[in-house]
Amino acid sequence: MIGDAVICPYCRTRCSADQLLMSCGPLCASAPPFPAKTLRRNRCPHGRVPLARRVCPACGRAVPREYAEAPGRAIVVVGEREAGKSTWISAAVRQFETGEAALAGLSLHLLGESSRNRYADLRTPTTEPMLMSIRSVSAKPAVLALYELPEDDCPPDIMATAAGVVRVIDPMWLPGVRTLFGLEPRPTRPAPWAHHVPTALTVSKLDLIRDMFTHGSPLRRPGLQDRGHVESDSLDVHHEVEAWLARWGGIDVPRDHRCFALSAADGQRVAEPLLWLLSRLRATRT
Amino acid sequence: MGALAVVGFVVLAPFALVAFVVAFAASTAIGVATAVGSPTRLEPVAHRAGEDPAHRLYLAGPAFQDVWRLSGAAVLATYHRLVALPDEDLPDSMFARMWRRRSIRNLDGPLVLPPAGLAGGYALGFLTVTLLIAFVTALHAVLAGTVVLAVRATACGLRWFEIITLTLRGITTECGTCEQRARPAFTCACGRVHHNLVPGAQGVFRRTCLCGHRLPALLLNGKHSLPASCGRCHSPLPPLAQSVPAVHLPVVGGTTEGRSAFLHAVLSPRQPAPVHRILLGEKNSRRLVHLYDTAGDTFEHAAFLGLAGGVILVVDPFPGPGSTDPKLTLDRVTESLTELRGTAIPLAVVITRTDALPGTGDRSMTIRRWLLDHGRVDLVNTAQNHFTRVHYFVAADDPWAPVHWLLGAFVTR
Amino acid sequence: MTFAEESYVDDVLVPVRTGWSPHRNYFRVYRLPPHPRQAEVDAALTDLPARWGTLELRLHAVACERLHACHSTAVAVLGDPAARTRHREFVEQEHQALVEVVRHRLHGAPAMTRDDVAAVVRVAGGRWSTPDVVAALDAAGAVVREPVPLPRIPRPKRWPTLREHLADLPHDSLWEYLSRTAELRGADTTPAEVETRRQRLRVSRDRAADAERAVLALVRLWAATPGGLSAALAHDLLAALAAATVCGYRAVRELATPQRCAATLSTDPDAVAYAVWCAREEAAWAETYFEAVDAHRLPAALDVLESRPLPESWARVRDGLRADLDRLRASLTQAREAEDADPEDAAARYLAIGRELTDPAVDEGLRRCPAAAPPAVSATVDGAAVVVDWQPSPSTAGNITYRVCRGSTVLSEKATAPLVDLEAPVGLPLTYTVTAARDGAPGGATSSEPVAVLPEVTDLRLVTEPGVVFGQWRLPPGALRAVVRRTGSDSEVPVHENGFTDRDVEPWTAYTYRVLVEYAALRSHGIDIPVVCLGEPDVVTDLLAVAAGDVVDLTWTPPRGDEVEIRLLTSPEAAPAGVVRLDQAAVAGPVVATSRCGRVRVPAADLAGGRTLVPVTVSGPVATIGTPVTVDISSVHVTGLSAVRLGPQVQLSWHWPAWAREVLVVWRHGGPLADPADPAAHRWRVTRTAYLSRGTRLNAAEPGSHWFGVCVVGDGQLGPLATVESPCPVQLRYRLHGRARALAVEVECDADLPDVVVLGKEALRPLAPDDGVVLATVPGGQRAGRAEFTVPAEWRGPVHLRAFALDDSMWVCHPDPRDLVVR
Repeated sequence: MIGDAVICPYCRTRCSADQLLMSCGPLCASAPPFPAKTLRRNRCPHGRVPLARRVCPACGRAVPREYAEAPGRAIVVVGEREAGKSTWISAAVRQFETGEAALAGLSLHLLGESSRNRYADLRTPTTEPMLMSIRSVSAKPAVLALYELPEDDCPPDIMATAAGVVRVIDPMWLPGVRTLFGLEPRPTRPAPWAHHVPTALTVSKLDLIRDMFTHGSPLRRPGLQDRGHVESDSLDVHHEVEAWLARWGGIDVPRDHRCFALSAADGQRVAEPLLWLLSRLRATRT
Repeated sequence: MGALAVVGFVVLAPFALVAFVVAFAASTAIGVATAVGSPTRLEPVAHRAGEDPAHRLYLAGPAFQDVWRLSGAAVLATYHRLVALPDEDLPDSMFARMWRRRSIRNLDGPLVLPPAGLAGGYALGFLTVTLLIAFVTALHAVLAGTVVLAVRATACGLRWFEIITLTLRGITTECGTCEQRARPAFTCACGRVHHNLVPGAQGVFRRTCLCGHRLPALLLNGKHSLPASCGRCHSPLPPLAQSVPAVHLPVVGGTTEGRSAFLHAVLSPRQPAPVHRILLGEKNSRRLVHLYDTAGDTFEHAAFLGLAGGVILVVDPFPGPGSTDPKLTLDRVTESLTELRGTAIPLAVVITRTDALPGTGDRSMTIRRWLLDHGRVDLVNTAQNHFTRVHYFVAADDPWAPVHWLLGAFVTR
Repeated sequence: MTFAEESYVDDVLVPVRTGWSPHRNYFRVYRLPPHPRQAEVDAALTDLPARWGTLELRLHAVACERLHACHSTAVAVLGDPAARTRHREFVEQEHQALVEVVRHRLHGAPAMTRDDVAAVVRVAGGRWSTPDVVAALDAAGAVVREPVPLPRIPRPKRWPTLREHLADLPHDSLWEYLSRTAELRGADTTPAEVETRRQRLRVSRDRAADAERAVLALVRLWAATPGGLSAALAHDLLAALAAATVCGYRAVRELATPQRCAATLSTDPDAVAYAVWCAREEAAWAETYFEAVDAHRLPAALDVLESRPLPESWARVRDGLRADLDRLRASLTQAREAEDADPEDAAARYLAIGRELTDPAVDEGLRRCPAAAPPAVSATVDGAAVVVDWQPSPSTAGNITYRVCRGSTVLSEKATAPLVDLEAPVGLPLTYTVTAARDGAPGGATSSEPVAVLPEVTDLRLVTEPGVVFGQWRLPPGALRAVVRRTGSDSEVPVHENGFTDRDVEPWTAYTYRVLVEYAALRSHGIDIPVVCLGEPDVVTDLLAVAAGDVVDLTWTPPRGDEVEIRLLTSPEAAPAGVVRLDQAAVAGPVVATSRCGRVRVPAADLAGGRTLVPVTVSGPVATIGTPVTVDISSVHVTGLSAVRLGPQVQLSWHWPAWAREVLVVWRHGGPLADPADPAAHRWRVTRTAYLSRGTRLNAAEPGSHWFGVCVVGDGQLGPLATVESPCPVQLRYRLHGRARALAVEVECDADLPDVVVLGKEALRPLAPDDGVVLATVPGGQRAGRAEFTVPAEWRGPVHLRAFALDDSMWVCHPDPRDLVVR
């Protein structure tokens, strides 16, 4: 709780929650910031109410209290260029606002103005995280820091602190799919890092290849997200996509993984990778 | 030689006895006079710097000190009167007068004896009186000390009694301007501000302001009728702040027009102000409700959120181009609330401008269903996932309903 | 002594014949040396007379006679030694005198021309003969020699200026300047070198530099033509030499340096010097002659030649000149005669003569034969300019040019047809005259008809309000005022400075106004402009607005008025009634369309959600507001309805029309939908926001065909129904029972089963009927089937099992995936 390690989502330095700095209120004229542990009965050293803002001692950026207390976990979204990472992230957030995840009683909140601005402009490549908390009525809130990184340029400090990975795969770049469409094969690059955290292998742009699957395939069905994470349906998708990925080739599969397939354009199964990661993170914590 | 001493003693003794008697009488008279005439002759017990502008209660401290001062003064007076050495600045003591009257210094031989005897007598008398004064002082001190202790204890006890009573009744003095709990300061009719008007060294049940007016020090005594102001920012506190629990309800969301329309309906036409205070309820369940009209998009500096006991969210279901999305407003409010005190408070969602809703069944659920139907499922989920209790209202139905519900929720906690 | 007869003829007989007395030199006559012996004398005295009678010499009868006559005297003189000596001294004196004369005449020259010798003989008048002169020349050390003909170098252009500029330079002559200056190379100077030198001179500013620059300019001019510079240098040399002749031959010879001569004239400076020397007297008058010839003043040139004795070559020139002059005079006479008959021919002759001869008669003759006038001149007004055009003059001889005048103002001296006069004064009658001139001499002239530039008013506008018509214009410069007439009325409409106001009009009547401009002397043609006077606008009461798709069709009967504006009614209470000002009427709301013809189509997007429209009839500055109307959306329907099957569900999507906020979705299984109230169908209301946020998905899992329909809910009624069908494929379900690796499969289907196979694969799920090992087959034909099988023990788990129907149209519903995996 208080003593838990907090990893600043902006500079990735570790500190504990009571080392975060707070500032005095407007009545204490220009006093230096003080660490949270010197709060006495929620008052600053001068005895007044401090500003409701905690900042990282290393980089000085505001760390939301929810993130510090939860504590927040880093989820890294990787994939080649134009694989659909930004599209997926915005579709996934929209699912929680108005889609089926919302029907399941889940609510997603972007923490801080910088996260809201980042969500408004996902196209710009940056290593700024998007902080969000996912709440439901019964469970504790899950706080995530989502980083969107290109596959060939992952800062190692972010990778080192990641608690989960979503790897977005564009099916049009897999050798098997390319031969089906009559396209020249692309040289595939191996992933430059080893996954030691739960990885959601996600095939995006499902609407382009949906006709490949028979009627009985789970990839032809919409998801059951209005019931949150349903394990049987998730396994169905996992087995199916795993078999297809093996058939298409081009992907080396990490140890701790689960496969997903979605179509951000149609809104089909969009939130599933995120929900699975949440359930895995909750399982490891409790 | 012995005979000479005896003769000398015999000659001296009457002088010494006379001197002793005179000195004793004089010093007793002086001591008694000093003790009796003290309030008018010694300076008044003014308040020390940093204390409230009221006279200090005599029996709460100065009485005890006065004992020492009196005895000291008496001893000093006696000394000066009897045996002080000649000094140009001071009036002559008896010994000094004697010393000056004739050139005693010129005397020698046996002529020294009578003045020496007188001087000895003076000194002896002074010492005796001093001892007597000390004895009386000790008695006096014990008496005074007991009285002072008793007074002090009563004051302390009364102070604690007041604090406990207030705490039990849930009355916390929160200043709306500096948005925190503040110690109230009371203003005398003469204009002087008393920051610490509680039973203490300046009075147990009442105290005397410097202007002479007597102010009650206890709420029971009528302190609540004095004009109160915030101890920090000196902005006035509502008159019932001391006797009625306060509830702080921020009103967020919607457009400025929407919010003020809602507040209009609730408060009847009033100037737009950041805080409105109204008294609701009757008798023991009276509450002083502070409604904060929070404009703007950020709540970082809204320190009153730390005092909030509930939130009213105004939702405009068909927002125009310039207004903020209600979910975004709610997100920002919950963020600020989380930073300050957490979101374990009730939330009242008030919808403005709806079409006619079917009127059957649970009104709140109907409105919730209406919101879901109109695509505001994110708002509903956010509300229910953050706040302990959520209830939905329509502004057109009954503008007082959200406040009443929040008060009820607040009280039953 | 041998007797040479030819020489005797030349030495003695010819001079005797031409007047020389033999007494003057008996020695020559008798061929005796100056100191003869007596014997020789005697021999000669006897011999010669015999000779005089020979055949060859006898021809010269006169001379021989005279010789015979003098013989006796000769004998007397020659026989006597003293007389002989005296004669010899006499001859010697004469010889010396002649030598002096010859020397004097030579003036240092090395030779004399024959003409010069003959001139000496002629001037001496018989005292000396040609042999005497020759002998004297010989004694003076000279010879008789003819000069080399010098090329006639015409004077280079601007020659006098060179002399002036050279005066400022330290050089005496162009040759010296060109040779001595650093960058120049004498006679081979190229224009590039001249340019280089000129660049060098740029920085200097004194008189010498200015002069040098001028000289360089001339040099460049001459060097531009090949050989021009050497011609200039040759002329320079010749002029210098000619100027030096006054100082004697030596000066001339000194000046003629070998290089200079070689570069310009010839390689022999002696010949050049001698030639110049011989031509010295000739130079002055030759210059005059050449100038006169260049100026075609042939009579003057002839005078120069005739006024002095000429050498042979010059005499030929003179004769030729005389002949030319006669010829020209003859053609002058011919031309004069031709004047009456054919003036053109005469003019042509005069011109031809004038090219060779400068004579006032030619000019007078040309004056008498002027160029004919152009046959016709036309002037047309084009806007603010006048275009003058004419036909060419019939005269052809010489250079025919035309002069165009406007009245007395000359517009152009050498005009070509057509000429545009942009500065014609406005408002006045103008006449243009074209005069033909031949080689500058004016001839006949023709004038055009009078024209006038009368511009009309500019920016003419008529504005009408109910009961009044306003006109506005801008008067062109030069105009007095404008005049306005209305058709149908005789009187002029009163005008003010820049417009008119006509209140004498009836509303809704058409009028035509003519606006013309009055100038000082004339009036312009005028501009006709029609207008319909406005009256009070009529109210539109029958506006109909029907929504169709994405547009709204509006129709009404066009009222009397200027135009009708359709406004979106936003503030109904603010709209005033009756005829009001335009800005008051604008309070009703913004304009979405305007029309004059009674119908208009407005895109629904322009109405921004509003549904109430009001027609406003506008008439000038006033308007009247008609009856508002609500857009009728009863026939609005959704478009683009499509159904996509997603497993057991069908997702419907369609395009929402404007104003539609809620639709009714109707569906049924098994048959098409008739209307929304079909009892066998299910109904569901979907709001627009719910559709946009969640979409519309319906469960349609029963096999067979499903029909879906959507209609718009608005204004309490339902719109037309749009429908779509989506069939549901036949479903095939199966389950796996059993434990560990001994399993059984049970299959059931809604229709007859096809063949069903169960595949097994290690580690991955089989994806197709050929992607794995067939572990069981359930034959088709019935509604249900069953088969048992075992998973081979050697397969390492997890083993994925999956059933496939060998019929692609079937929908296989698989059980829980956890049941399909065997560890």
